[in-house]
Order: sequence, then structure tokens, then C-alpha cells
Amino acid sequence: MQLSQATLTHQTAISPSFKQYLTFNTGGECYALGILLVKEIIEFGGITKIPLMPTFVRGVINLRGAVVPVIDLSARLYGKCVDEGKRTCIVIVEVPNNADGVTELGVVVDGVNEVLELNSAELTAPPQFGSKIRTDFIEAMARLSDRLLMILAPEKVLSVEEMASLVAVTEHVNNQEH
Amino acid sequence: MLNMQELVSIFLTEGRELTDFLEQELLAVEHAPSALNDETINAMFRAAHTIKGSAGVVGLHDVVAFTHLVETAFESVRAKQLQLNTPLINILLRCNDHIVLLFNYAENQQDVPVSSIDAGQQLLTELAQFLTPNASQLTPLQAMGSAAIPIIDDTAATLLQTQHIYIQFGPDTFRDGFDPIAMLRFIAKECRIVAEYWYCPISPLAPMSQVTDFNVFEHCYLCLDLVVTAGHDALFAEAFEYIKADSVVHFFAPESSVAVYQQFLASLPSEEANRLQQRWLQLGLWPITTSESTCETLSSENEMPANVTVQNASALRAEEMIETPSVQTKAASKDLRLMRVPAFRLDEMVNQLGELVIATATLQSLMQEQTNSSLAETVEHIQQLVDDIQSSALQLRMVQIGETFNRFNRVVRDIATTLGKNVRLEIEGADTELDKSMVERISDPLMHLVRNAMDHGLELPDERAAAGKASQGLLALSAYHDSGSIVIEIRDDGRGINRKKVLSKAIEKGIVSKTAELSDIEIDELIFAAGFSTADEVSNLSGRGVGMDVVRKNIEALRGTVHIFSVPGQGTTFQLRLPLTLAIIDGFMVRVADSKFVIPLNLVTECIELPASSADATTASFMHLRGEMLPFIFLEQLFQLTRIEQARRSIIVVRYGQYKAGLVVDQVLGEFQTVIKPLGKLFEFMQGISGSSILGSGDIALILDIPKLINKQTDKNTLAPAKHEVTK
Repeated sequence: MQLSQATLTHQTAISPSFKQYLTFNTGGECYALGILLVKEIIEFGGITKIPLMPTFVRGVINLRGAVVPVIDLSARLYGKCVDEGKRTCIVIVEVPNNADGVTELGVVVDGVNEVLELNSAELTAPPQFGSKIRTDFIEAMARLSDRLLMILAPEKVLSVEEMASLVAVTEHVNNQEH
Repeated sequence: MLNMQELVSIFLTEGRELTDFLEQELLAVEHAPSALNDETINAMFRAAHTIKGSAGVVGLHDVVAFTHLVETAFESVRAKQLQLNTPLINILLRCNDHIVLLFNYAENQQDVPVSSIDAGQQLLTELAQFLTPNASQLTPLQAMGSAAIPIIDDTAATLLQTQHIYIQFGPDTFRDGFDPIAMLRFIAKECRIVAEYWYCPISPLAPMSQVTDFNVFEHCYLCLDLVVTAGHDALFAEAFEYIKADSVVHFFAPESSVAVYQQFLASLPSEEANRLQQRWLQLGLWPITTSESTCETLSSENEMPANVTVQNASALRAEEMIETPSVQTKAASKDLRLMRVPAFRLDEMVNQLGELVIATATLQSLMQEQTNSSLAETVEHIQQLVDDIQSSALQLRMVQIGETFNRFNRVVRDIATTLGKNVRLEIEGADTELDKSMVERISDPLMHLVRNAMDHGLELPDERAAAGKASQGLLALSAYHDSGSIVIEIRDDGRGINRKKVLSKAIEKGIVSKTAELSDIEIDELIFAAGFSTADEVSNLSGRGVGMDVVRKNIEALRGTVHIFSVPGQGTTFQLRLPLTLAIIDGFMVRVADSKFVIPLNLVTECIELPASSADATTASFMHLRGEMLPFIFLEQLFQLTRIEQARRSIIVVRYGQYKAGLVVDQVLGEFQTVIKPLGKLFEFMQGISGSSILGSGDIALILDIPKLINKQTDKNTLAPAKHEVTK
């Protein structure tokens, strides 16, 4: 990973229009995230559930001694959890937060595909409507030879502040119910 | 590499310790003047001297100029020319405060505002009045010190080897067409000027009527102490080549020893030599390195002030030479005993150790599947060692509470003076240790409790006499360890809590209902209620925007508790009970469905079996426990977990403040000690769970936040009392 980042920095220096993305499937669609955010990819499992959480919070995992929250991307995008399969895995990402730098998060996806290098010329703005997910979640669209790729906006999809307030609301609602 | 700002911050840490020390000692002298001995006076003098010397080294010239007279005062006391009486102590305490103020400005890299400078001058004037004629000889130096124009480079220049050049320009310098400024510019092109101190050592001019040589008006009287980066000898020689003949230009090689300086001074008239020595001491130019430890002084922070003290003190007074070796040994051995380590390094280490502990536990559980006995033995040994290391690592963060307590000497003294009360502060258990982060976080609540006791608890001397008590009130701060926590008590022998008044105020404010029948303890606890205040006792002392409810909240946020014991007419005791550290928790592990939870052990009072009559209940309910009503909640229902039927369940009885509650769990897994892992920002608004902990198996257990759980449950019942269901 370190090596690829170094290579990328090198390339960026030469032609700033190229960027690398990790592509993966979730909820039957193909999405991508800028690779600079991705720390590692681990196999799915060992998740400790936390009670009274919104569906997209799967729980926490023990990542070599650190407690890392795990987000179900499918649930965050469509409100429906990933059905665990052979290819299900957790992508560990580092997202910047407003307060103190970065937060480590685990993101559950149906399966990772490949690392793509895309030219900014290949990217287009997301459509105003018509997509299955919130449009502000999409940073850009890329037309590949055989399919359409949605590049996610990490600061929106994985916004720690927004998710934390959803956590608070869900818990409150749950408490009122019984 | 250290830069100037880092050096300053190291100095400030040291400096604050010294000012704290001075304050303590001065208060001690005031308290018991007879106990004053030469050793104490010497120590105070050394402290003031070290502040001045080190401030010079790091370029805080305000501090140098100000501290000079304070040091002089201590010197006079030491020389028995001045009596250390209360008025002098008062002024010295205020001077001490001013030094701290200057430190604060230096820390924030702010210029000292004019008002503070004036205040400082005022203090110095007052202090100067105490000094004997002997001491006042030294005062012109102080004026000189403040007139010096230091140019301090804020880069790491001072850490490069520097050398000191002393130039006394010849009288004819200007007339011969030389310009000192041009010389400096020339030097500055090639090397870095770290500091330049200009001054004009002329005493009052000769009477004009007697002047015969009119050239005297065009004489150059400038002297310059220049500190530059070393290694440019040729350049310096070139710069000063033409003035060499008529001026005194002396190059001190980098790290010149005291002997070199003394040799140079010996070549001058003795009066001038003395003056220069004083001046260089003041500016911190006098050598601070000893022959044993050369050139490392600046980088080894801890040694710096100690050596300054030793060297400067020995240079100052020849008769001290005999005393010096012992002082030096003392300073050296102190360095060996203490080491300054940034707190984050310790935190890092404690975290890594936490991981090591977990890894070892994993190893041990793997071991159980093996049959190799020697391997098992080794693993056992490693486990033991890791446990030992962990406890000693946690020990590293422990500090004595004495320092925090001692701060209250001054607070109590000042408040007592303001209120016209006579109060003696007693400190017990100052050597009790607790975690550094804990110390930082309890000082505010402690301050509030002390102010409160001074203001509301202790009476005026007349009142005390009328009540048949000694006119001097007693305020005691004590600390001791008790079963894995630290207990801090703030005790006064004042009037105690006026329960009638508290109750009527509470009813007035609607905190309790008129008909409520409360026990004495319950009434006392009312002062912790939010919004409670005995408003007719308005004062600026205990009303500093923090109510007693905030005190309690702060203590509870540290997983601690507050209790009050009050006897009318005899006094009040506030008892704080706190865990020793925030990083580790003594936990009680339980299982509900397939989730594991940890309950802080200090809150668990007992475990009982769930009565058969409640076994089928699903919502919160209550039962009789030895004559008391015990409300209990089902954790699986609260957390919406799916439980597989099981025969026998238990109730964990927890206690928090005045509440007692039961938590129904499936299995009790026993107590254990664990490192707390915060859950992070994502869960910051979550209630009921305060953190997590990694188990030996690698699984994560969640730590229950009992106070919040109980509060939540109570709130719900107050909001919707109809939902309350009685099953028994």
C-alpha cells in the first residue's frame, strides 16, 4: 500500500489529472473510492455488535489492539445491510474529521474489484436525479468501456459528524419506544 | 534539535517549579518564622538566582531585569542585612506572582503589556525600600539590564556553538570615523548575531564648569557584549582591525571556562571588573558550563538550571566555594533521580503495553490447546513479566498529590485575608499517589470545595469565639488510598450545613416538594442539585460560575463519587472517592444474550438471583431487597438483544449516587482489570456505553455507563409514569 501511494504521488507530480481509485461492489452497483483513503482490506468477521445503533453501524472490530467502528456501506446508501458472502470484506479507511485529523473506519462491502487509474477527463459530474443513492454522496461518475462507475464522496458518505448525529437520534428513538 | 521556543518552554517548566517552591517556602516562613534556617534562605536565594540566570540563557530579559532585585533581596536576607518579616514576605509573594505573570506572557509569546510593566516597576520600587544601602548599590545594574537592547534570534542559533565578544569602544571611535553599527552589519553578513547588549557605563558626567578638554562631548562611551556563532575568527579580526588599537576588544573562545573570564577581568581595574562580572552574570553570559560537563549544557535541559546555580553562586561569593561541592553533588544526584519525559510518550507506552497484555492473553488461550509443558511454563513466565511491566508502567504516570494540595496554602491565606477569617490549612497524606491526568482534572473541583468551605463553612473569629471554638478555623485536606481508589477529604470545623435553610431554599426553588420528608443526608445532598444556591450569601468567592452540581458532575465524569458528612456546629467534610487512573478499569463482566458487558466494579454492590416471580417479566420492574425497594431493568430488553432462553438469571445490584438499581443479566463472568479503549467520535453522543475493552480472546466487551443508564431510566419514568409496571 505504501509503495502504491508513493508511486501515485510520483505520477501525480507529473500529470495531476490522473488519480487512482479502488473499485468495489455494494448493493449490486459498482462504486469507487480514492485510494489515498484506503489503509487496508481485511476479511469480514469478528464484529462486536453495539446495541441500539442505526442499521449502518455494524459494530466494532479489534484491529490489532485498536477498536475500529464498522460501517455497512450498503445500509448507509440504501438502508439495507450487506448479505454476507464469500467475497464480503471490510475496507479500512481513514476519513478526515472536523476535529482532530482522521478517524479510522471499517467499511463493509460486497467485494473489492481492482485499482483503476482514471484521467480527470474521463470523469463527469453526477446526474441531478435518477441515481439510486443520495446525489451528494457521489463525487463524480466515470464511464468505463462496459459500465458506469460512481465515485463516492468520502467526506459525505463517511462523514463522522453526520453519522454520529444519526447514532444519537437512533438511540433516542429506540429509548422512547419501550 | 531544540529551538529557542522549546528551550523557553523547558525553562518555563523549571521556572514555575521554582516560583512554586519560593511561594511554599515564603508561606512556611510566614507561618513559622522560628523554623527559618540558613539552608532555607540559601535555597530561596538559589531559586531566585536560577530563575534569573536561566531566563538570561533563554533570552527572557524582562524576567531577568525583574528578578534581579528579588534575588538581591534574598541575598540581603542571607547576609542577615534584612529581616524576612511579614511585610517583606508580602511584597516578595507579589513579586513572585509577577514573575509567574511574565512567564505566562513568555509562554504565549506575547509582549508584556505596559500596565504589567508599570505594575512590575511599582513592585520593584516597593521592594527597593526594604533593601539596605548595601543592596542598593546593586540597583543601577537593574536599570542597566532593562536598558540593554537584546536582539534574540528565534532560530536554533543559540544551539550552534556561540562565542562572546566583549568590546569597549575607545573614546575616539567616532572622531576617527568608525561606525560600530557598520561593523556589526559586516559581521552579520557572514555569521549570525545571537544577541547584542549595548550599554553605556558612564557614571554622572564631570561638572561642566570644570571641563577643559571639550572633546569629552564627542567621546564614544559605548560598550557591547556580542554573542555570535563561533568559527569566524578571521572575519571578526577583520571587522575590528581598525579599532583594536584604541578599544578593548576581547574574544572569548566558545565554552570558555570561568578561569578564562577571571583572567580577563584581572587585567581590568577591579571596580570595572566587578561591574562587568555582575553584568555578565545578569545577562547569562558568565560561563554556565563546568569543566566536567562541557558543551552539552544547553541540550541537557535538566542540568542547565542546576549548573547555573552552582557556577554563578560560586562565582558570586568567594566564601561560598567551600559550600559549593556539596551543592553540586546534591544537584547532580537530583538529576539522576528525576527525569522529565513528555506525557504522550508514557501514554503511548501504556497503550502499547495494553496491546501486549492482550496479545499475551491470546497466547495463553492458544497454549491451553497444547500439551508441551515447558512451553506452557515459558508462556506463564511471560505472562507474569508482562503483568509486572504493566503495573510498573502505570506507576510511571503516578504523581504525588502534595503539589496540588500545597497550592491551596496560598489560596487559603489570600481568601482568609479577604474574608477577615483566621484559617489554618492542614495537609495530610501529601505523598498519596494518583494518575497525572487525574491530578489535572480534580484541581478545579477541589478549588471550588475549598473556596466553598472558606466562605460558607468557616465562621468569622468572633462568631467562633461566641460558639466556644478556637478563633482559628481549621481546614484540612487529606488524601489516602482505600481499596483501589483514592479518597480526598476536604474537612472544616466550621458551622456545618444549615439544613433548615438548605431545605427551605430547595423548596423555594422547586427542587423538592413541600411535603417531602428527607433524611439529614438527603438534605445535605441537596446542595449538589442543579440550580441550588443559598442566594442571600452572595460572594465573589464561591460563586465563580461553578456550582456544586458542576463539582459533582466533574467528579462523576472521572468515575468518582462525592459524599458529604456534616455535623451542625462542628463542621463539614466533603469526601471525594476517585479511581487511581483513567486508563484502567476494574470491571465486572457479565453476558447478556451473546454480548459481553463490563460494569465498573466500584459501582457493583452485590449479585442476587432473579426472583422466580419476575422471571417472565420483560420490562423494568422492582423487587424487595432486605426491606428496600430495588428497581431493576432487563439489559436485553433495554439493548434490544435477542435472548436464547436460559434457566437462571442474575441481578447485578449497582449503586450510583443516591440511586440503587438492578441489572438483569444472563451470566456473571467475574471481575477483571482491563485497559479502557475509547469508542471514538462516531459514538460520542451514545448514552449507556462509555467505552470498550479488548478481552484476552481478542473479542471486544462494552463498558456500561451506569450513571447514564440509571439517569435515563429515571428520566423515562418521570416522563411517563403510567408505563411503570408493578410485577410484585
